[in-house]
Formats: sequence, structure tokens, C-alpha cells
Amino acid sequence: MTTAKRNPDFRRREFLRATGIAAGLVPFLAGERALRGAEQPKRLLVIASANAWVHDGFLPKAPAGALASLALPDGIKPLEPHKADVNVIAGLEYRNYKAFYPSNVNYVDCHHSLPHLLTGKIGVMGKNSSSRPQDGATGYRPAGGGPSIDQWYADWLRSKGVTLPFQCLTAGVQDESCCEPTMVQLSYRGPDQPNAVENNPYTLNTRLFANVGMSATDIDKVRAERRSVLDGVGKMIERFAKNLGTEDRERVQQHLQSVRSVENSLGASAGAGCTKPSVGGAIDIGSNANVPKLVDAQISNVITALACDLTRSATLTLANGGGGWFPAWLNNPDFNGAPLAGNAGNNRNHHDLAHASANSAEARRLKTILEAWFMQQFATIIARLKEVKEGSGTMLDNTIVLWVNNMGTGDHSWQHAVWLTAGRAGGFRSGQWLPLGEWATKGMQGACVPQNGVLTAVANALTGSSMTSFGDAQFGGEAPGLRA
Amino acid sequence: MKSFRSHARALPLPWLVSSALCLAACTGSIPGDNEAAGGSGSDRSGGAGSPRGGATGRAGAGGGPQAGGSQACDAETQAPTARPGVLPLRRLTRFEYDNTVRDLLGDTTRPAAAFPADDVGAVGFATAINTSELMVTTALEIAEKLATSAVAKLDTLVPCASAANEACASEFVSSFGRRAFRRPLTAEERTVLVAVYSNARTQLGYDFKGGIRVVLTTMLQAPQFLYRWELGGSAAKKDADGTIALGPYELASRLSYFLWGSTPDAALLDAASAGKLASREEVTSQAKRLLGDARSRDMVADFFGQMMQTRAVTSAEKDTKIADWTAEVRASALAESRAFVQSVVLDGDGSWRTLLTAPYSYLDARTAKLYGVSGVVGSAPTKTNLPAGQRAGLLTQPAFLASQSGPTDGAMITPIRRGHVIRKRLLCQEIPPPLENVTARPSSGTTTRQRLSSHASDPQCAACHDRMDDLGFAMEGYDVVGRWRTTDNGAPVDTHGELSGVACGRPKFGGAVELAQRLADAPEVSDCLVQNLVRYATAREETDGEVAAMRASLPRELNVRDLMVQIASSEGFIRRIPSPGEVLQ
Repeated sequence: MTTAKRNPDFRRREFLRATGIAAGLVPFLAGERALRGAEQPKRLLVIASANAWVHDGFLPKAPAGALASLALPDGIKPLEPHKADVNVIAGLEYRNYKAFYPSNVNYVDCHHSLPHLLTGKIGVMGKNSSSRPQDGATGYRPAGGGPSIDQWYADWLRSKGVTLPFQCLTAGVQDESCCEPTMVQLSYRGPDQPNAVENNPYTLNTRLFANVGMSATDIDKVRAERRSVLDGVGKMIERFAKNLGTEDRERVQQHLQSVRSVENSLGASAGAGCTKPSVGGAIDIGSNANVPKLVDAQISNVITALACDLTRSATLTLANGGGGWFPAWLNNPDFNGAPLAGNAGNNRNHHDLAHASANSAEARRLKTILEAWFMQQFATIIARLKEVKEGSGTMLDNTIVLWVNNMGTGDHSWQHAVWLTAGRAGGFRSGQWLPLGEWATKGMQGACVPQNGVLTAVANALTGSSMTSFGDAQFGGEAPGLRA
Repeated sequence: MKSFRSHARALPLPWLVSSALCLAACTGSIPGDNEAAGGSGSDRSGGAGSPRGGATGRAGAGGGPQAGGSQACDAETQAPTARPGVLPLRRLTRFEYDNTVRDLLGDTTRPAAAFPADDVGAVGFATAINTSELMVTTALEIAEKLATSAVAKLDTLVPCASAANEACASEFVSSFGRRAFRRPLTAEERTVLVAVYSNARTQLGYDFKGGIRVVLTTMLQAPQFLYRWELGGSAAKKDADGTIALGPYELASRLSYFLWGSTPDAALLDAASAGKLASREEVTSQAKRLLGDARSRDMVADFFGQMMQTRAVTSAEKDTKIADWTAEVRASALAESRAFVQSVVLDGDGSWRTLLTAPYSYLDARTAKLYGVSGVVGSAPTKTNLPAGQRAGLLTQPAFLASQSGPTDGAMITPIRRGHVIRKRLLCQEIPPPLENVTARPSSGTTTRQRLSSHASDPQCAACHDRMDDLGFAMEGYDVVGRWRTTDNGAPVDTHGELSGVACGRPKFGGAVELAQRLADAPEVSDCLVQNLVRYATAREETDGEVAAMRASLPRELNVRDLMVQIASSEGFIRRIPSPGEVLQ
């Protein structure tokens, strides 16, 4: 997808052409799927952004109900065309993250909450020491305590015999430009085993669609060579690990597992009927000015990979746990104004605005404008999923998109968080304003419910299970209202 | 657990009291602002994170001059003994991987940028710890590219290539393998790799060149290549004192990765095979040889770039109103900082004091403009005297000043961030993060310093900010990209302050140049350099007494070159203790 094309019609045509969905692909995929089973594949896409949402500008001021009958506040106005497809869920809290802290510590630094959002488990002390607690009572940096839901779903698929070229796809935009691992790690394979994130959309594009345009014979040849190489690598690892200490041996064992996993994926059908989306020429992936193009490119990569069944479980991390994008691309001069009271007096980037938002109406106004830009990205993703016809519906009917945020409020609270979903895979419901806990009646003074409730619903919908909890059971069961 | 440390060993007593206050509330600082993306690579993790309340700033623990902070400034140091530590298994970092394939295959494409980012790690320097499928996939992709380029010059890579038979492939596996794995291969490893070659010929139907390509692709992903652990198949042997002497090949690699960030050369591997790394004198002599080689230049720049966090300057984007701060200028600022440390350490007097206080630097036409110096042309960094009284060493270079500043002049984070890095990286003292949900309450005033004055007047703020703000205020004579200035927002800058947290009271300074002198005078700062360099060299935390022992064996005025040689031949470098669970002979 080229980014300069903002005409929606053009974008749609471009997308259909780029993914090859409209023409040849659907019959091909449908045929292939028929071999695997009658159902359309169910996909999970998790998107993470930081700095919370300004509640006033983002959440409907109404009791729970259908979004269709509500006026959308400015922050989520871009979702207007998709009101029937999304849920806005308020009143969540990250109790599994808080639980790692001693009970007398009230401030939980949500810059570092990403590793816990999707695991639902209490974190562990990371062996990479920057995820160990630093001195001072707020400096806890636990690593994720178990598999995140994207990995969990990828593992579930594998256990059911579904092996994909990219079993668990982790993409991001500028998530590594910061400092500490726990500010960037969203996806975990297991306790203290973060899945690294590909931040380069051009590299990812090449990797995902390497087989596009190759003959079946050539694909087989590459695959056979890689299998031979990885088999050799695996044997070398086995000979290497013998005498190591326990901790080192574990690391090498994980390395071996990764090699085996990549090796397994070689056997998967590799999107031969897929068309590689154009993501433009490589640009500086660290430059703030390039953010919109990078986001667009990663969205194209991920959605096409999902559409082509290269993966069914993907995450897209937008910036890191303290994301400080400065939205120069909005060309709104108000963002260039003097620093606002209540922040450290830096400028009006996403993160500084979050800090200032508690005390400054202007910060809340600007942050809401920026949040609407994020929601435009969400709207783009939803629109693209709806453009892909599958069976009698669209790909959105077979997907759950989960948009999470690592903070509940601009001052980085672990409570009062807002998540959004889109899609209806496995009977997941959509079109709802869902204030959970006591949000509807007491707002910021009300009790919240753990995000585990949403995770449980997503996991059950994707797998057709009836699990009573996801993550640690102590954080409760499925949140009401999310599944039919 | 070794890293359980208390503030008591780390910091002077008044700070203990203030730390308690910190626990109550420390308002006025913004944790995230140091951490926000788009910020400039601030690193709040590093140091030795210590579980639950430990402090890390205890250079010289175990009897060093700073322990407890109560000694007189000139207290004689008892030379303590230090025991070696556990050497953790580490993969090649991006820097090491790139250098390694350059020296192994002549590949200068620096492909490791495609790897997932290095971890910051326990020691405050880049380490590669975590493995993931993405890492494995990237290693595969890079190895394929490297092997394809390498076999394009098959005769260079495989001298016996004209034979094109299995014997030649086997010979390649052994001889190239010794360089790639930095030790002779075990029989088992040879068998596996030759089988990979044979399989390529028979199963994949490849020719000799294709077989070599596949076996090379495999070797470049083998842990024997990717990890620095050159024991081979044999288990280590523990000596009577419970420590393990590194084997000759392990030591050769430790030396070359410390002093070159790269793989051993033929001379070093040959010395290892000939048993000529057995004595301290032999190790010392090799260390000196390595430091005399051009490959050490990248290492020196890498070490100081990580220590001072100046590597972030290339991504330190600023407000677009600062028109001159282009990507080219940022690259020049980094080049300046690299040329400066390389010249002082390797070509100049090697003195730590010079690094901190030199009134000159290495400018090109672009950086000269930042400094307001005329007459410098071209793009090669050239030794240039700087405007009198304005500059002193590393801390007043744009690479540091711009990496550690907010996005725009007037950003209140600028002095805090600069002070934070000085405290942490030059004094090796930690600053606890703010403890309660924080709302900044800037004071009224014109300059940034005035607006931050509540940090000093509010004891809750002062508890932490006493450790940062003055150090940062000293740098208020430079704007966010490091240009000299005398006013801030129209009012004169105020750069005076006191250096807290050192044994010799609170030395006063009038500005950055004097602060640099005070830092150069402070034994804590020299200890901290030793601590940083030990960590960089060993990829582990220093052991009790290790820093003090090192200091005791060197003159008070540190020479960085000598320090590097000293570390390379120290007990802590040439020996280790077994890892828990390790299988020993």
C-alpha cells in the first residue's frame, strides 16, 4: 500500500489489487482451506499503543448499550462507519501487573506494563536484569509471566495440527527506539521469553512474501535447503549445550526450540497465491516524520499476511510503553505551541500530552486529536478486513482485532484502562459500548475488572472453548457481554 | 545474592535519609519523560539493577575508598583481593557480529542491524541474551546472504576448491571452523557439518560450491559461532580455590572481543594453540598488541559511546525549528565524539582526566558551526582548539548534550536528563525512580533553572533531584543541540552548583568546565570508569573488591589504555567461577 494515496476509493482498489484478494486468491485459499477443514480460519490481531486515552474525549457518556444509538466522542469519531463492528470497553485494570508489586506500593509504573497485558499472569523476575526491580520501590520491571494470548493462540493452532509459515507474527513501529525491554515487550512465548518484534516493514515485507512469484519447484528447493541447514544447526546446538550451567542451558534450549519452530513452519503452505503488498521504498525507520508511512506499511504487511493465511496470530506494537510520537503529520499548528503546564515542559508530543492531560484542558483537547489519528488507523484496519470477502461475509467476521493500551489514564495508572475490539470471529460480539466494573455509575471512583475477562472471551471465541479463565485464575473469568 | 546491596554501602548517609523521603513522595519529576520514545535513547535501566531496594552505585565496594562514603578524601586504600565471577553465556551483540563477519569473511555490509535490538542487560552495556524465533529467522536470513557472497570468491574461501571433493569440504570445515568457532572443532561437530555438506550434494543435488554455501550457512547459525563460549566439547576443570582458569581459546576470544569487539586474529589463535596465553605476561603482551591494532579504535568508540550514551545522538531528533540539526550534523557530532575518544585513548596521553577536561576536540565543517568555530573545512574530524572557557571534554560535546536533552529549548527535562546520566554513568550512582504518581509543579520563572527551583525548595523533590539537577544546570550554557549560549529564554543562564555524593564534601563549580575538573578530581569518578570498563570487558557485574583491587594497582590518575591492559590480565578476566549447574570435570 502506498501511503500517498489518501483517496479511499483508490486505496480500496489498490489494496484489492495488492493483496490479490479480489481476483484469484479467494478461490485458491478457499480451496486450500477446504482441505484443512470447512471453516474459515479465525485470526487474532492485537494492536498496542501507549499513554492511555483521554476518557472525556473517547468514551460515550451513556450506560452500556449499542454504539449505533450513541454519538461518538471526537477521539473515536473515525470509527463512525464501523460502529457495528467495534466494541469500546472501559473499566479495565491490570491486576496481574499490580500483583507483582508489594501491596503497600500504590503507584505502578505502567510504562512497563506491556509484558503483562496479554498474559493475564503475574510477571516474573527477568534474567535480563533491566527487567529486574531497580532500587526504589517503584522500579519493578517484571517480565511477562507466561505466553501472551497471541502466542497462546498460535500454540493452540499448532496443537490442532495447523502449522503456518509465521505461527506468531510480531510487528511494530519504532518500539525499540527506547531503552528498557519491559517497555517494548508485548508478546511472550513463555515466562521471561519475550518474542522480539520486527520494526522494519521493508524487511518484514521481504520475509513474509518471499515466496510470492516463485515457482512451486523453487519454493520446494529453498525449503529443502533451509530444512537441511536448520537440521544441522539443531544438531550443533545439541552438541553445544552439554556442559553449560542451568541458566545458560535454558537459554540455549530456547534457542533450539526457536530453531525447531522455524523449521516446522517451513512445511507450511507459504502463501503461493498471495500478492506481495507494495510498501514503498525503504525509509528511515527511526524518524518521527516517517511514522505514518511506517504504520501504513506494517498494516499492509500484517493484514495481507492474515488474509493469505501466512499467519493467524499477529501483534502490531505502535511505539513503546512511553511512546512519544510528535504528530507533525497532522499539520496542526496547535501542537507546536509552548509546553503545557503539568508536564516537564518538553513539547506537545503524545507522551508529554499524557502527562499534562490531568491538569490541562488544552492537553486533553490536543491529545484527543492525536487519539483520533490512532483511531483512523483502526478504522483503516477494519475497512481493509471488511474488503476481503470470505464465504458469505468478510474477513472481519473471522477475525478479532484487539486494541490495547498500556495505561489507564494520562498519568499512567494501571486502572481505568480502555480497550477496543473489532470483528466477530467465533461468535464474538461487536457494536457495543461496554463500561465494565463500576465505570458506568462511578467513573474514576468506581472499581475496575481485570483485563483477563476480555482475554478469556477472546480465547474462547477463537478456539470455541469454554475456559473459565485466561492467565492466572485468581483474576477472574470471562467478562460478560462479549460473546453471543 | 550478590547483588543485594544496600544504600548504606553506596551512598553517603544524608542520602539514606533522603531516600526515605523519596519513598514517601517525590514529586516534580516525570519518570516517563526520560523514557519516552522519540526521546534520545535515555537509559534508565542499565547499572546493576538490584532486587528490591538495592543500590548500585557502590564503586569500590568491599573496602574501596567510597564504601560508606565516610572516608577522608585522601584515605589510603588497602589493596583488597577480588574473586572472579560467573561469566554468563552471551551471544554476539550487533556490534560484535558485524565486526566478526568483517574479519572472518571480509563482509563490510554490517548486516546485524537486522537483528532484534540488543538487550541493555544487567551491566548497563549491550548484551544479547534473549533468543526468539525472530532472532533465529534473522540469523538464517543473514547467514544465507553472507554465505552467498562468500562463495562468490570460492578460491579465496576454500583454497582446495579445485579438488571439489568431500576431503576438501572436510578440510574447509576444520580450518574455517577453527576461525569461525574460535577454537578447533570437536570430532562430533566436524561430523555434523560434513554431513550437512554431503547432504547438500546428494539430497539437494548441489555442486561443490553449493555444498560449501550450505555448510557455511549452517556454521554461521551454529551456537559455536553465535555465542561466546569457546570451551569445545570438554567440561571445565575447577581448581582447588574453586575457580576455573579460562582455556587458551576462551581467553583468546575474551581478549579480542574486549579489545576489538571482534574475533581473534590468526596470531591470537596461534598463540592459544601454542600455549602462549598461559602467563600473565603473555596475556599482557597480547593485550598491548591488540590495543595497537586499528581494530581497537571501534572498541574505544563503542565503549565510551555506550558509557556516555552518545550513540543515541544520531536518532536525537529535535524540534523542527532547530533547522541546523540535520541527520548529517548528527552523524558529524557522533563522528566527533568517536574521533575524540579514539585519539585521546589510543594516540594521545590516554588520560581519563584529558577525556573529561580537554579544551579541544575533533571537528569537521558541520560540527565547527555548532561550536561557533571558523576555519574548519571538510568532513574529516580534525583536532581543533575550542573557544576558551566554553568547553571541557566529553560532557560538553554535542554528542552528549544533544543525546541527553529534550526536544526543544526550554524543555525542563534537559538538565534533569543530563544530570541523570552524569550521576549514573560517571559516578555509578543510582537515582531511585519517582515513587508516587507525579504531577509536575513547575515554579514560575524565566529560565529552565528557575522553573525547576521547586526541586530544591521542596525536600521531597530534593531527595532525588539533589543528585541530578545541579549537574544538569552546569550544562545550561548549551542549548539542546550543544551550542554555547549565555541566555535562556532571554535571561542569563546560571550554571553554578555543587557536586554532591562524593566523599570530599560538596565541591562547588561555576559551570560545565569547572564541573568537569571536579569530576576528574573525584575518586568516585575514576572508580566508576573502572567499574564500567570491567562490566564492558566481562559482561558481568564487578565482584566485591574487584574495582578497588584494580584501582589499587594503578596510579591515581587513570590511564585508560593501562586500565584496559590491567583488566585484560586480571584474575577476574582470566578466571571465572562455575555457573550454577555447570557440568565440571
